[in-house]
Parts: sequence; C-alpha cells; structure tokens
Amino acid sequence: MNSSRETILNAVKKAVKNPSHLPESPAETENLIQESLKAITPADRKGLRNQFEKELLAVSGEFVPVKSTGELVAHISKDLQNKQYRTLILTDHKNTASAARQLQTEYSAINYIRATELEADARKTRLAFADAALVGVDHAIADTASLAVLQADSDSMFPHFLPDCIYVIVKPEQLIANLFDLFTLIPTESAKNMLLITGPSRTADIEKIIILGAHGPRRLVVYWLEE
Amino acid sequence: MNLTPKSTKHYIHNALHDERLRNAVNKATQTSLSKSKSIKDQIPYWQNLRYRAHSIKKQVMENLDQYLEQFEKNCLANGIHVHWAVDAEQARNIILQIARDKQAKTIVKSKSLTTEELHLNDFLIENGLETLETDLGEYIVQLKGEIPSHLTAPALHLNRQDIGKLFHEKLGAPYTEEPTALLTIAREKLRAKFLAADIGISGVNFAVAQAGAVCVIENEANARLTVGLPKTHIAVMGIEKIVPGYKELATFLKLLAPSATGQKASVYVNIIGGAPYPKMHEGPQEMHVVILDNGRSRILADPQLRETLFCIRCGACLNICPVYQQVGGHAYGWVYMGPIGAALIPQYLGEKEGRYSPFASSLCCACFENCPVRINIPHHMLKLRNRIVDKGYSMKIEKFGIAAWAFLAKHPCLYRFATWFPGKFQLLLPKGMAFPAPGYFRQRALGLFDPKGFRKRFMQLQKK
Ligand code: SF4
Repeated sequence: MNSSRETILNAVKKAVKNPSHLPESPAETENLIQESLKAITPADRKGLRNQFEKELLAVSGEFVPVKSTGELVAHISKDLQNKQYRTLILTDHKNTASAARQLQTEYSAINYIRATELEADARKTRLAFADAALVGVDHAIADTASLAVLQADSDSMFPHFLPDCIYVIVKPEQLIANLFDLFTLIPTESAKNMLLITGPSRTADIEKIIILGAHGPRRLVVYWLEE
Repeated sequence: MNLTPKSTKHYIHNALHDERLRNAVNKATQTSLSKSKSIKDQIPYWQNLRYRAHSIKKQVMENLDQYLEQFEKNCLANGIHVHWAVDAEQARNIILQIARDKQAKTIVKSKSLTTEELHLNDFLIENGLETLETDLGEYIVQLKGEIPSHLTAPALHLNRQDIGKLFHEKLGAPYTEEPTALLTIAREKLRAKFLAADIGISGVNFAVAQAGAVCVIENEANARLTVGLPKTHIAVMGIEKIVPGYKELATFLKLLAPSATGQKASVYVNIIGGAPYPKMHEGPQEMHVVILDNGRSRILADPQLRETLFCIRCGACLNICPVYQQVGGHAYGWVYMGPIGAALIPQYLGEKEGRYSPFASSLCCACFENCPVRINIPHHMLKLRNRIVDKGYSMKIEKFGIAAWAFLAKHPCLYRFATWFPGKFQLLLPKGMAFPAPGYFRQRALGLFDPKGFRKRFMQLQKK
C-alpha cells in the first residue's frame, strides 16, 4: 500500500467534512450563459465561417478559401516558392492525402518528407528543421479560430508543431461553433489525447511585445477547402 | 535567489527605489489589463461564467477525495504511473528516482509554479542533471538566477536591455536588444536541448478526473515540445487541479486565456492522457503524474480559507493590484505573489513566516472583481490579518499605533486634541509642505490636513 497516497487521501477526506458555506451562484446563471451564447453564435454556416476567418486573422493566422484541391495545390506551390521553403512534411491525414499526392506530382522544386515513413528518432530530428508541413485537423472552432487535433494512432503529431509554417486543410463540415460544443461532441475517450491550436506560436515575454514563432510555427495558414 | 516573505518589507523598500523595475512592471501590467479588458468585453456571458467556475470549484473541493480517486483510476487505466507526494521533499525524490531509472542526463521543463514551489530545478541540478526551463520568460529568469516575478509572465520585471545583457554575458551571444533577435537566440539554444532531452517535466493546469488526462496550456509550444519530444513525461500537479470532466474544463479554458494573457484562447491546449502514439513511437512513451499535497489538504480543511485553493494561476489579480503594480513579484518573497500570493504565503509557510504578506494590500477589492473564479481575496486577507494579530505576530509599530488609538478613543478630550493638532501644526510649516511623516512621504506625498480638524469638519458636513 502506498502510504503517501493513504496519508493524502485521508487528510482530504477529513478536510472535506468541514462545510465551507461559500455562496451559491445565482439561480439564473446557466440560463443566462446559454442565452448569451445563443445571441452571439452566428445562426448559419456562412456566419460561422466568417466568424472563424475573422478570429483567425485576429490571432495572426492566414485564411485562404479554395474551391478545389487543384486550386489549393497551386496556392501552396506558389507560397513554397515565394517563401523559398526547401522542405515540406506530408502527413497521412484524410484531409491532406489527395492534395499531398497532387503536390508531389506537380511541384518538384522541394524536398518532401513523409512523416510516417521515418523512424521516430530520425523523424524528430528531420522535422525539427523542416520549413513547412501540410496537416489536417479534426475540428475547427468558429468563435476562437481554434483547431482540434485528436489522437491518431497511425499518424505523426510532430508536423503540427515542429516546422516553421503549417498549412492546415479545413473542410466546412468540420466547423463547430465553440469549445462547449466541441467537448459535447467528442467522447471522453477520443479527447484523451488532444491538441488545440489557436494561431501561430507566440511569446510576449519581452516587454509584452508579441513575437510569433516562439518555439513552434511562425506561420499558420488555413486552407478552407469548399469543394 | 533566496527570497523569504520575512524580508518583504526590505524587498518593498528596494523595489520602490528601483525606477527601472517599477516602469517595467507598470508597463507590463497596464498592457495586460487593457488587452484582457478588450477580450472580456467581447464575451457577454463573462460574469456568469465566473459564477459557474466558482460553483464547479466549490463542488470539486467538497468532493475532492472522490475526484482524486477517480482521476487516479483513469490514469492507471491509461497506462500512466501515478505517484503521491505528501510534501516537497517526497516529490523531489520521486522525480529524481524516475530520472535515475531512466538514466537521464538532460531534462527540459515547461513553466510550472508547482515545481517552483518544490525548488525542483536546483535540486535536480545539484544531483547532476542538466535541467532547463524552456518557456522564454522562465529561461531568462533561470539564466539570471532568479525566480519568476509573475504567475504567467516570469520575466515581467526585466526590460529588453536587461535581457540583451544577460544573453551576452551568460550565452556569449552578441549584444542585442531587439526582441525578435533575442527570441531567436533562445529558440536556437533550446531546440537542440529539446531534441536531446531524456525527460520532459511539465506542470498541470487542469487534471480531468473522468478522462485520467492532464491539460497543459501555453502559447509558445515549449510545453508541446516538452511533453512531445522526450521519451518520458513527468507531470507535477497539486491536488487542487482537478476538474470533473471536459464540460467543466471548457469553462476554465474560456476563462483562463482572457484573464491571463488577454487572448480569447491560448495558442496550445495540450491534453495528455497517457502515451498517445504507440504505433508511431512519438513521445511520451512513458508518462508519470506526481500528485502533490504540500500543505493543500490543510488549506482545504479550513472552511474559511478553502476558497484560496480555487485559484487557476491566471495572474489577473496581480495585474490589477495597485500594490503589485508598484513593487512587482519578488517583493512578496516567495513563488506565489500578488494578492493571491499574499493570501497563500501564510497558509503554506505558516502565519509567523508569512506575517507581513496579507498586509501587502490596500483591500481595494479590485482583485476580487478581476478574478475569473470569483475568489474573495480581500476577505481572506482580512481573515489572515486577524489570525496573525491574534497570535501576536503583528509588527510592534502597529501594536503601538492601535494601543495609542484605543487610549485616545477612550479619552474624548485627548482624541479631539489629537485630530485638531496636525492641522494646526501644519500651518507653522512652510506653505504647501505636508505634515512630516518620516519614512512615509519619501515615496509618496502625504495630503494636507484640514486645518479645522476632523471633528469640526465632520459636524459641518452633517449640518449641510
Ligand atoms: S486568485 Fe483569481 S485572479 Fe488571482 S491568479 Fe488566482 S484565479 Fe487568477
């Protein structure tokens, strides 16, 4: 028997027997929260999409609406060229599979790294110095422009936070209104290992000046793929 | 840096004479406040969410034993090793033992006040382990040999020139005060360390009982790298970090970022419930959670002060506090600072050791108004002051002052004289000069007394 465990749990059990008489929240709290949420949540998909775009720009993300995988591939190719990126990481996410295939055939002026083909240690080292990654996410949240990535046993998570830039493909059906909806939607089991990303990595530790690209990506480009 | 709350008066004195420090703290707190306000204004349900958060915390604390057991059970089911530490020494030894078992050489850490409370870095370094803070602010204060001066912005007391000089002296980097260049220096140094690290140690913002998972919130991605790159992850949490489930977690996520950094959402919310990617062999391959008491169950047992355990360490009460704004975090003499620190110090370290802390407040109640969890900090400070005075730990000068006042109050003629005299005496001084109050008016101006005296003035006002 772990005696520290017992000591702590016994102390806590004893402690909670003393009632604290702290004030209860006003009875209308929950209703008011629901009403406010309803009032500020756009009523239709278009409104949600616009809200997502606005919030993404507010956190220094980039928003690129595209109508087809072809248009998306053309845009990424141009961006890779403009930014003079030399390595692009590809992942096996369902959102990115066809774009990745098309990119590889149409744009050869870059080194492609397929994250899942590398052994873990090599993957870590190579991806840590890569320029960009093309990744998918599982949900997008309109009111904060957050992107939710759930655990996938067969995919690598490194591309989401190691390179300098991440290109994220989001599909309209992945958009939900807010964080409360996200946690209602996802079963506890699936949310056990999850990453929520809201904009590029940043720090304000020097005189509160915001600098992008602290330890993670400096750029986050969302391709809104509305096929 | 060996600070002690016993020397608070001395630190405050020094801080008030340090114009550079006061400017840095003032600028940073004002920036945080205005950002935070503009985000909160966009959330119409903010005040109600605060009520909800308070209710959740209350319910959790009243049933903490059950939630801790549920959390442990679900962690074990997720393959997480769970350790319980009664005090700081036990926690340090548990962590050292894991490091030895793993034959670790390098440890990377993401920001954690709980590990600051354990003095973990010094301990691990003394035991031959290279231990590096990776949050930029924490990295800066570690290089400087200091402790954080703010709950969420550890290097808030330093300006860019200080940091430029520090990087030049300690890292041999060419002097620069350009923030992006300074970040690049730190990023390059630390990325190599992330890749080489054997163990990542993080704190825990919230521990989700229903899932057996911990939640670590950050903006830089250093916590993501800390938990995601090394093969072993150790998460250190106080027993009060429990939330029942994800529904409740969402409430706290919504409150934390606007209060802490003036963002709608933090850049990274990492939820980690065991070794997540067995097939891909991505870190962590092994996960440990250290559940720490270190005095918390004692606070829990005190129904009058239990509420101080509701704190989610957002730092909002620090930013708005007129005392913190003037003196910064080191003046409090311990790892927790500002209004909530002032209420926690005597509870963690004892009322004698922390006898000055609850007095470092004007009791203006701004902290309560600004706290996302509605912790009534001024009320707790008053309670602690009460206890400190009852136990005879208050300052001699205060005891003398109160005794003198009590004496005068019992002798109305003398009382009348005492309230009349300063206003008259003041007339003898050169015009505009305030009544001499040694030690007080060196840092601030004492207002002029009404020459009529308080009683007369009060009676006139009443007649009106
Ligand atoms: S007491 Fe409230 S405002 Fe202060 S750090 Fe804790 S949660 Fe934030």
